Amino acid sequence: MTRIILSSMGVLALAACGAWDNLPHQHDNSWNQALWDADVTATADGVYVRLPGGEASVSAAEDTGWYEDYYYYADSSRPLGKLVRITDAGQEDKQVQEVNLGQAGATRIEVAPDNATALVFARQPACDTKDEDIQTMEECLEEGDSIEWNSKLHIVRDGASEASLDLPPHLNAISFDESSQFAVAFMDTSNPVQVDPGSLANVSAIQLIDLANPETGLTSINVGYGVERVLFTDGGSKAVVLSESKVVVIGLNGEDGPNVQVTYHLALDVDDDIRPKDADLTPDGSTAFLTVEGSGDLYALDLEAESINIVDLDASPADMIINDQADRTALVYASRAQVDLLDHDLMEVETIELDEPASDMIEFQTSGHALLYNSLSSSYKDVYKVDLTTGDIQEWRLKSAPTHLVITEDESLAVVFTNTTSNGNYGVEILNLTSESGASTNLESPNKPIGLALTEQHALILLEGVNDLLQVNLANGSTTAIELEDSPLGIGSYGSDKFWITHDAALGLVSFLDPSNPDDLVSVAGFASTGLFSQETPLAGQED
Amino acid sequence: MLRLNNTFATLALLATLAPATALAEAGPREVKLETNHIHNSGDSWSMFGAYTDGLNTQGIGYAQDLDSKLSVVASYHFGQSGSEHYIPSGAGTNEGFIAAFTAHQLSAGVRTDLDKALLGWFEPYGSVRATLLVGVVQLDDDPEQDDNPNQIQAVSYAPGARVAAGLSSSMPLGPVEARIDGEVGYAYSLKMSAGELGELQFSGIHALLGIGVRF
Repeated sequence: MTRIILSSMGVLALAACGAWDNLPHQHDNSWNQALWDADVTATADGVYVRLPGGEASVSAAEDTGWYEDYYYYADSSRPLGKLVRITDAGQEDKQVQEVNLGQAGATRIEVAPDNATALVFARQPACDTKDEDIQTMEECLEEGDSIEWNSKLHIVRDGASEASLDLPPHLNAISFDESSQFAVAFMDTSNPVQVDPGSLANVSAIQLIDLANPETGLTSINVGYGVERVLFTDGGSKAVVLSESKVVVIGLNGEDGPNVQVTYHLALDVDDDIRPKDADLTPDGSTAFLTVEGSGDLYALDLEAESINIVDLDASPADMIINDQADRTALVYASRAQVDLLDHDLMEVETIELDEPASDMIEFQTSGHALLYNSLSSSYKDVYKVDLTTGDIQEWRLKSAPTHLVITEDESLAVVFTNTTSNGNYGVEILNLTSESGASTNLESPNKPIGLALTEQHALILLEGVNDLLQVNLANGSTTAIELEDSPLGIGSYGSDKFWITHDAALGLVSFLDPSNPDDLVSVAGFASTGLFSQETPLAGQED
Repeated sequence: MLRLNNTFATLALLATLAPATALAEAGPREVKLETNHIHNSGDSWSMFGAYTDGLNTQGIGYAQDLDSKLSVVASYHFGQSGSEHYIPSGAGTNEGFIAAFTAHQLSAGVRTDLDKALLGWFEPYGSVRATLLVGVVQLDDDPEQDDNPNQIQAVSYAPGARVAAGLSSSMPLGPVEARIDGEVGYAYSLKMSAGELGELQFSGIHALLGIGVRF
């Protein structure tokens, strides 16, 4: 008898597997957000993907042929959201790994320059009750108590959380030093700021995080209101914090821990509100240059002599770069057709006239050059390569205004996406940056380019609504199509020599491309369904 | 799908009836068409049926009297529910997906018939059954594509039990009796694990209606 039942059950399991051609769907649900955040974050060890939760309330309507505006909460179905790491390596069932954030859900991810450390902003629920029997969010809500959300910062490496820090929720921005030893969390008022109800947040303080020793926790330092930017000197010995009318230099390696070394006041009168706009340090870390909103003043802060020089510019610059080879600072203006070159020793400005204003610059890393273009106006089509030492200029004229521009690693070519040309097609132009005659290769498509990545010899381009990845030979513009699983959303680099591609698939789809073997795409699917049927959400300290 | 489910139904019926037949060699028998409600009021069920509290199944039931008051009973039931989920455009991905749940439920147990005189035409009874729910979860975000990589399927089992009280009525119909049953009760089953997707649990109010013949 037992044998009959067991053998029957085995056959039942096989027979129970259903077909896919006519799945029942008598009901309709409408979600207010996607099951996964296609704006993924890549590190050397994988691609991190947020699976949002929390506010994922669901509206529902019976399938009556017309839409009824019913709403109910599906908050207890994956209420926290999840974070998964996806790789193309290993067995298929090991390619998706959930990152354990305790009882917290990820809201945002930032990657440090080492490309191995991810800082994950998270929120963790707690029940506003003294009843120790309440162990889950659902029990808390059923008892009529309210959920409080605590802000957390997880330091994640290689798919695991190494530390969890209590980060005040109003600190919504982060800066890293180049060695990834330190990070500074600060309040960026240009983005939404959340302050806990019933609390008083110190919005004049930053929090310093020692990423190499996260167990030391957060170090709070008062710097002033309205932090705009945090810079680090090479080697990470100092942090330069730019805030409203003030610049604070913090020593990071003092015997007594991080401490304020000097404060520069940018205004003599407290009524003057001077907001830093852009800033950078000279390569030796001796001088910080900063531009300010609505003013032609360029502040040069001597970090050694602790003095300030103010250079008078013609307007408030749109962009600024400091170049090591030329030992000069270049400045461009959104409404003035000129580039200014500031000599660091003499503090003198050389002005070079352009045909059109440029709003953006890309600094060449291997030579004293910069590439100038204008991304703010659809009227300007010029691209300039400027020798920052001699002031010599090479010009390219695009067929339409640029929307996106990148240069190859060897800085010999630039790939530019442009607005539609006169014939209604979108443009992709390849500029030969070593040419003295402004040579370029022009490509056009009726489909809008939405993604670009570069290899040594090719540009990998995604077009809106096209299920192919176009591999463009940078030398001659010839194109090869690589078929994709689904329509793409974005592309980026992964590891040392691979690329990820996200797809428009509700249940999650990411492909990995090795350019040396483009036909062997690895696709990882279905990860967005992780935890969709979770029923209970343990509160912190009440883990299973 | 239909062919697979027919196969399943046949096998399930055999698996259901085999023990019952082995237990009883004599006495009147019943074969009925039944409809049943499998309760799930968990939030996760909204993936398959918004504003419903479980799914209705249809199936076949069998009973054989052991004596005048006690019968063995068994049944196989099949049911499906699904939802089409829409993701708003501009939310990163704007394709929706279908989530479907297919239930195959086996049950076997005993029924005791009480004194018919209690309620005139209706004969009250009580039953206790062991149940086995085989659930198939299917998610598909591109139903038009046969080899979509996002065809996600999880098959899981949930043993359980249910107790019910009901009323039956029968009347002569040629050489046999026509019989109608109606019962309500409580069903409990263990959680079904759908792997990385999470868990589902079908427990709660049970209701069944059956109509068939007794011979």
